[in-house]
Amino acid sequence: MIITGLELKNFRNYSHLELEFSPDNNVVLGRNAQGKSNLLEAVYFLSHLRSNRAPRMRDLVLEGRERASVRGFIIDGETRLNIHVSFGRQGKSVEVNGQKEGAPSRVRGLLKCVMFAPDDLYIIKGDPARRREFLDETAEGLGPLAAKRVLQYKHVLRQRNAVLRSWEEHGAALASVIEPWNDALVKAGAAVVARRAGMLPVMESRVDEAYRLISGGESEVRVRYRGTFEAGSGDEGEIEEQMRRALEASGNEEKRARTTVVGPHRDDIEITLGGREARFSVSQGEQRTLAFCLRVAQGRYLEGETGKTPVTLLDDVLSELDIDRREKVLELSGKGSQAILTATDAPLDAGEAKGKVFMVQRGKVTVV
Amino acid sequence: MTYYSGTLENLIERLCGLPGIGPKSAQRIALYLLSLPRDEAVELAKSIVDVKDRVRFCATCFNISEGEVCGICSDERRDTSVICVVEEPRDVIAIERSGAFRGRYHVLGGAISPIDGVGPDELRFTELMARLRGGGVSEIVAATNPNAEGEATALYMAQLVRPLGIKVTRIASGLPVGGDLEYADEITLGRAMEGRQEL
Repeated sequence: MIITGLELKNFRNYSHLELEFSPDNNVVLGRNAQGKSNLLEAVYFLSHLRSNRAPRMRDLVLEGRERASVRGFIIDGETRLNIHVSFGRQGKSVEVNGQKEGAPSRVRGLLKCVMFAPDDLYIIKGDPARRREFLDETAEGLGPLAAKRVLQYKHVLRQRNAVLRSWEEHGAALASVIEPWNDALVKAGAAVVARRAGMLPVMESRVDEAYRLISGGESEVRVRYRGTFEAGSGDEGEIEEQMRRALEASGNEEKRARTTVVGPHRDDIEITLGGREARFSVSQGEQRTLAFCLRVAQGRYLEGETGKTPVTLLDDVLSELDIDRREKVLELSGKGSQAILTATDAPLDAGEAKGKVFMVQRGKVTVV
Repeated sequence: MTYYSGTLENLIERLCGLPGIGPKSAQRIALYLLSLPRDEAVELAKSIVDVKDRVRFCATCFNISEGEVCGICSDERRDTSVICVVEEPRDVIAIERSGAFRGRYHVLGGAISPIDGVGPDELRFTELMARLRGGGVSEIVAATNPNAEGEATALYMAQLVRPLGIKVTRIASGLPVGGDLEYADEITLGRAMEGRQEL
């Protein structure tokens, strides 16, 4: 999959920008705070219809402007896509090849990308929510339907938790008030759990492979799914059954906690390196490398599941690594895919060999 | 920014508060109303007041009605043994337009949604149960929306009604007629598959 062109209007610090990318490597150079990462963010935005770093859409709009838009020209095998997303105070509107898309969520995942960013470190180091976000983001990459299941689950969960928050109010009727939500929770929840439990074994071997290549070491990486109940064989029907049982057994605990305690919203991924827990017991340098390997695995997983090679976005990742690892990182992340990477200095001669180099200065981009 | 006199601005603001009307449409409607002959504008204002004065809720089914009991509940030809339970009066209109149902209705006044503070007590379940205890009903059709809240409402109602020995059915969900199979999402398609029928 290749993004051949990008057009921005009032997006971040770009009032108007048109760019043509190389199908190979694209190196974006510039000093700090000139707008390099904003270019990668725009590509991520076309793929996920949200930013990879700003929770609020209005932070993406150039100050003083009402609306912003991002247009991307994409080649996906035989298909050419022109995705246009415009957004602002009056909502979001999405067009694909000039046709308005009534349900913008259906555009999510059409363009596939994997973003490597410095704060990926927190996928390893941070709390479980960061790892769940990573899993949900991967599901989004699979396409609109996988993403929809996650949203449905979150919605039903909010409703059910609203009942639990003040459960005393319902008195003897509590069971009958909460029961109608259990069915939907278990159905959507089992779909999410099944996807995650199926995804991680594939990712594990990819992470391990990438880690050995970069570090040259022998330490084994393990990536294990940690759910709130025993998922069993991985068959969705069985997971539903297990989750229902676990949910029923958690009655007292969820009353005490005033919230649902069983389900994928409490999942975690356990990552170990040579038997040591990566979150607490390995060096920050190793954590950074592991986070990088998770991203490589995310890309390979999406490629394996969908048959499409995601666009690789590397946001200032090289500066964090020692020189000898840089080369391997570039090779691993960009292998066979189009890559767009940002750096404050020219990264490597190898990186420039095939492709284009851009220079960014205060919201203006020039081709070097 | 105010471009208009206070009176016009006031009208625009009020129109803007209506469902589905944004600031631009509100402005267009307001300017159109301004261009109307006076008596037409008065007619419009009067019909709004009339609606408020005359239309109320049917004492039996809580559909909108001009009398104590609505036209459907007082229609002798309709089947009294089946009650179709819906969320809002507009759902009654939709089902009536289909002509596929000849029983009577019960309008709950919404769907269960704990985040919005709407529990069973905020909906007209007590009234429904009173109707059912009155006898003569053999089936309840749950025609709430096929979203999370509608499903939960239907399930809650089923729990409530089943002990009375009355059959509770749920309207089917699946593929839209005239639609394309390939454009249906997997959830809808899954439901359609579950509800398949022998030919």
